[in-house]
Amino acid sequence: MLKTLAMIMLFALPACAAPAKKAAAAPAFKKFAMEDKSFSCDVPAAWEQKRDLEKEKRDKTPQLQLLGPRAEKAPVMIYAAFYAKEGSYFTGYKNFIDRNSKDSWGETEDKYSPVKETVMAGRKAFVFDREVKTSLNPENPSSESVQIMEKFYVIPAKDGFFLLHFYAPKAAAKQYLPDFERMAKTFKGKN
Amino acid sequence: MNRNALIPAMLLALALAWTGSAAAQLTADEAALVGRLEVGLSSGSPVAAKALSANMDLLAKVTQLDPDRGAALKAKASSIADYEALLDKRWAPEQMRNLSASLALRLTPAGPLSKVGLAPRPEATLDWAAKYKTYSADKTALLGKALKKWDVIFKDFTFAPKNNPIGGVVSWTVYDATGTYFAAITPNDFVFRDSEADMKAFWADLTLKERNDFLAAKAASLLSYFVDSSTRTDAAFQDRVKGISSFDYLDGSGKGKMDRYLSQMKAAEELKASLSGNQMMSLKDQPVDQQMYLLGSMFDKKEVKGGVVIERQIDANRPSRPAETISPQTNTLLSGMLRTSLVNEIKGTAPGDKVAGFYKGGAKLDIAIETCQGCSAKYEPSTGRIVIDSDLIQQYARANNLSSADLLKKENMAGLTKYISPIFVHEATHQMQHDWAAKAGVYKPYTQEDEIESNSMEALYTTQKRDTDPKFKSLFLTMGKASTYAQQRLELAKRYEGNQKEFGDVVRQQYYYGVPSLEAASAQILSAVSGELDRRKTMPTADVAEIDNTGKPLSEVKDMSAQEIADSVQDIRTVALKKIQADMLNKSLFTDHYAGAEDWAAKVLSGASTKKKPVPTPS
Repeated sequence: MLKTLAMIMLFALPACAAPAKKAAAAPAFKKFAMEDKSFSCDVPAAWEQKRDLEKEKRDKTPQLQLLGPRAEKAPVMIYAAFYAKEGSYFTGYKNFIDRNSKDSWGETEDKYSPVKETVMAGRKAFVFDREVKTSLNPENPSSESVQIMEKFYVIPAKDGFFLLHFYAPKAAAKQYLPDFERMAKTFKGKN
Repeated sequence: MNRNALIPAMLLALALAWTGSAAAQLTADEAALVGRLEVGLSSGSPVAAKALSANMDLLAKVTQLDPDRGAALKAKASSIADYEALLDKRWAPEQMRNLSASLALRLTPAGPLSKVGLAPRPEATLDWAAKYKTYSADKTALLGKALKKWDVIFKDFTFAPKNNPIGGVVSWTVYDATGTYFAAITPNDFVFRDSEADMKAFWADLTLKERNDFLAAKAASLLSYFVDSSTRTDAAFQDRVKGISSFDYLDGSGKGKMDRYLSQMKAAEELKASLSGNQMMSLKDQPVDQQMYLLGSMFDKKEVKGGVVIERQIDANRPSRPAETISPQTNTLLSGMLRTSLVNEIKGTAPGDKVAGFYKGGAKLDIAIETCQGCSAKYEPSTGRIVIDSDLIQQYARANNLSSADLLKKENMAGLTKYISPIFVHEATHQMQHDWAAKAGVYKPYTQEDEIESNSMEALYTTQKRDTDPKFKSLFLTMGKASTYAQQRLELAKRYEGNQKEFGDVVRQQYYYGVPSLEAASAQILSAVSGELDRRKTMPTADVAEIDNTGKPLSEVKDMSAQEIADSVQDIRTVALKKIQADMLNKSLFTDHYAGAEDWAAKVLSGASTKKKPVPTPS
């Protein structure tokens, strides 16, 4: 009933007919924390946050997806996720790094950096990046392609690992990489 | 499920939970509120859409009392929220084509946005944005361009008339603000009028799709002129072509042709550096297609020295010679052989065994080789055929120095089968999706979820095949240096193998950005169908009976897209509309199906990656 009343009040206002102008400009970053407290970090305030709670429940992999401004007809995305050992995808952080830090076909033109050990919030972590050619429509042999730049932070944890993943067209990567680095710097994961 | 998807799902759950409880009438306050919501939603108010999503109990009650009214409320709120989210995204100028295509998909005369005052008139979106949003000047300008507003598209353009001596205008030549040729408008064009003001007035009444189609046709015509007539390939000319403003409006197919044209010019220019004076003379005055053809001959005769990679690039880009063109007889033989060889080839991988089991279980496999027009292959629900692109096969033949007749030889057939097999698994998965819907007795719109499943099956197949078949791996690495098709297969496999959890997002956000999600498609269909069912309640009984006697039955509409359903609801029988409405309200049937497929693939990949053997050396 309270909800109904609140809505009646909302509708009693001329808001429905009048412009609903946006408030003052939002801050550049805001805090994000997973509801199960598995991790937290600052995220770009204007980026769209996406969750798939049904899928997270099934695959035991809580994941935040952030969608930034598109560039070169491709998305700019950041992921922050926790991949549990008993989850659906990887047996552990080594398995993830093995599958993502080198060209599994061996001879294509994609570029991979070496995997480097680093420290994030006092914890051991691994960082690497890659640059890959991707299609805008893989069913169309005349499709345009775009170079995608990706960067990964992999943080081992007791029962799995955290992943921070940056995905952007190369032309836009320089612009948005600092947002990703800010997320990484403020990232805190459990155990 | 994304954030926007959660609200309707919860509403549906509540509505279903309500079923079985005692029916309760709306109180006077609730009835008044629903009335205000309906007014607000009908004018496209995002405030009303948010207000409805904040009161799920009320919607559940309305749905229980009057399913059509509840469905209409839900569909309107969903369509406004979906549209608002689309517009709120940050769009870069170079994304104008994608933005416009996404808008055109929604701004249709019978689509859900027509029920909320936002369609079909494209400029209604600009009015809506001015009322409810504070978009920047740049974003407003980009929206104007994407919506093809006359004053934005033709700003500072010159319309030069060719006057008829006896009065009136014979045609218009249009130049852009820099004085560069843009298009010719003749009496054959439906927008042609005797004055610029009349054309502008007529333009205001066109839908966005009609505007896009017109501009795309003009751009395609200009592109054809260049491809067929121009002989230049130098870098300055390539830049000039890239800068022609008319080409901003090419559609997907036209853009593909443009990409091919630019690719041919680039390849030709690189090769010309190593040609002799006489060889250069033979290319003079030839359009680029012919230049590529002649360059291919020079390489084949070893008149020009170059690596195998360059030769494959040339062969892949040039037109086919007569012996490489598939004759009707070869086509028949090849199609028949592929029917058997493809199913045998894919066995031994998890996705391949699944597909092979599908056909072994009685499903009909019908392979055809035809021009696919912008795709490597496709499944045709209307005919039940899997069409393999004839250009793809001819390109394979050219790159491997084979005539089309050579392809029929056992060893060549084996290579061709391997080459086609990943896209075959992809299209066979689409056939399986249609078969599943038919057996479940439901209408299933084509959505991003279909492509996530098909691309996952294909990528998983390619990955497993790489690990078990050295010849397959070698073939794709070799062809990947010259063929976009082969590169795309490797790209998908690597992306999927790297992280299956994120794979679906790339499919949604990059590969199939213009295809509606299941959420968007169901909202569009529910809105159109519910609106039409409401309309029929007020129609004379005889008129409804006429539609029910002569309209489209369910069997004719089951393969329609969401857009096609929305565009043709007035011609569909009532019983079919009610069935479609019920299917779309029972969305968990679809989400469970897709989730099941995704979980199966995750299990297979996870198992494979932990037990992976060293990759055999290609022989």
